[in-house]
Amino acid sequence: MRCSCINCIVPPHILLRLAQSEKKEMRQIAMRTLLTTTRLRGQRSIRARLTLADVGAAQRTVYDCRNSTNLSEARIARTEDGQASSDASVNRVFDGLGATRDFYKEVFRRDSIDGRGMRLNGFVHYDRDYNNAFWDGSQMVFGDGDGVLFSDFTGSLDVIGHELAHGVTESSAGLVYHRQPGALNESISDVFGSLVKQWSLKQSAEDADWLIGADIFTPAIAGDALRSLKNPGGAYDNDDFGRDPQPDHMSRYEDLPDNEEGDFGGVHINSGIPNKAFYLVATDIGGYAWEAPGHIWYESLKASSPTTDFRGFAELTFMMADRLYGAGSREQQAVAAAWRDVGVRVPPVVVRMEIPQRARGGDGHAQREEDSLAALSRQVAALAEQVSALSREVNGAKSRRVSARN
Amino acid sequence: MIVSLSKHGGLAAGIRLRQPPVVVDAKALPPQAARDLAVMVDAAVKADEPAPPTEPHPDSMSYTITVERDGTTVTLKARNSAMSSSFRELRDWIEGHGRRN
Repeated sequence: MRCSCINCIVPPHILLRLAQSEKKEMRQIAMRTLLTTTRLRGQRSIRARLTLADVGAAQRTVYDCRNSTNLSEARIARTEDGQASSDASVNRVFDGLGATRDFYKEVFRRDSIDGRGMRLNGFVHYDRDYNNAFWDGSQMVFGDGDGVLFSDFTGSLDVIGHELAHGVTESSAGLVYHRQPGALNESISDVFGSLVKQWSLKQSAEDADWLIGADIFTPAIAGDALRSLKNPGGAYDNDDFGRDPQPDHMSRYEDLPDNEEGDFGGVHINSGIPNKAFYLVATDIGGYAWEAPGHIWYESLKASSPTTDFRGFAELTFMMADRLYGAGSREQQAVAAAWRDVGVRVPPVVVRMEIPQRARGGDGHAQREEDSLAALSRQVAALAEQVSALSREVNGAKSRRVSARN
Repeated sequence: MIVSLSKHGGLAAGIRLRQPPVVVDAKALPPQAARDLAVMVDAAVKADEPAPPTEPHPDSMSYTITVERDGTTVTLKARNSAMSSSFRELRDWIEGHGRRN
């Protein structure tokens, strides 16, 4: 067998020299090796740090921000082996993280957010009168609400499940937070947030309320919740908030600016469309939504890329329904009907295979070779940047851990 | 001087998208409160540094404070993850004293 990769013992500076060699074969081999070694170096470096920082059998820690916005100043309020707190918000987040962790483990055999036992950190009492909860890229943060419009954001299990699902998405598909991929990102969080609650209550699709944040409005606010997967656009309609702006069909898709003022293209608005599709699949199949519908969505999420849009995701769910339950199965028919009902066409799936072009000589070949080398160079640079970013995140996690100990 | 505060994003972004900003008109304030507001605005403007462009975190919130004074308009922006204490103080003050039109 012919080896096409220079042994990794060759120092990087020599590989870089070889990558500029006049001999095309040498250039190709050097670039391939650089790509491989960058990957391996990244994996070794990150794994070594993860051993110390994040691998923790999905252990939970809840921190009290004491109304600060500086997470590094938060105090530990409850740990995995510690006693229950006298603070109800702390205990709700602790229990909510536990329920969500158990849901992923038992239903999808997934070990925490990253599938490798990542620690689950939750922060409560963030800021003053803070009407929000968010995922900061590595942990979940919850506000108390202002007590006028919103109450404590730890009050709804589906909100906790929603935030944790952002972590799952980030470590799997990595859907970008803009326009359709961003709305899909939000929808995935709503779907799995709702599934965590349904699984926890052992509710069937017919019995579930399909609401997100049903317990975070104060009694003074007329409305069911922040969002409804069953009825996008119908979660609330009152003088304080106006009418729920979520569409339930592509014909009502909101084309908003891709900036902060436009909710990055309406990621919290247009998520109503895939939300409704999931609800339709779940009620069409019937029974527990975390079973066939949940598995189809979960496998499709794992197969998605950062820029997967509604149609791309619909195709993936159609393909996964085939793979999991068979072509023409009831599950696959339910998936196709649901997407059609929300205005997303699922075309016949074409299996695309990347076939490497054969060398044919001439100028065209030289151009392809250059393109190929340029692509490899970009891959090396992108991988190196990802490794650096991951290292920075892991170092940040280590620092927080050390601060927490002190 | 007229100062307004808009909030963007977050889990309840759908609600915030259509909400008008919270506005404070210094002319309608007692003299001491108007002076306090001017001091806080100056501090927030002085502390303002354009944040480097970063990818948004899911459900994170951001804020825009607009100051109309002496015929000029100054816009200050901040995210929860990167907010000066001066901006935060001004944000909370507007929230406590302003009203939605």
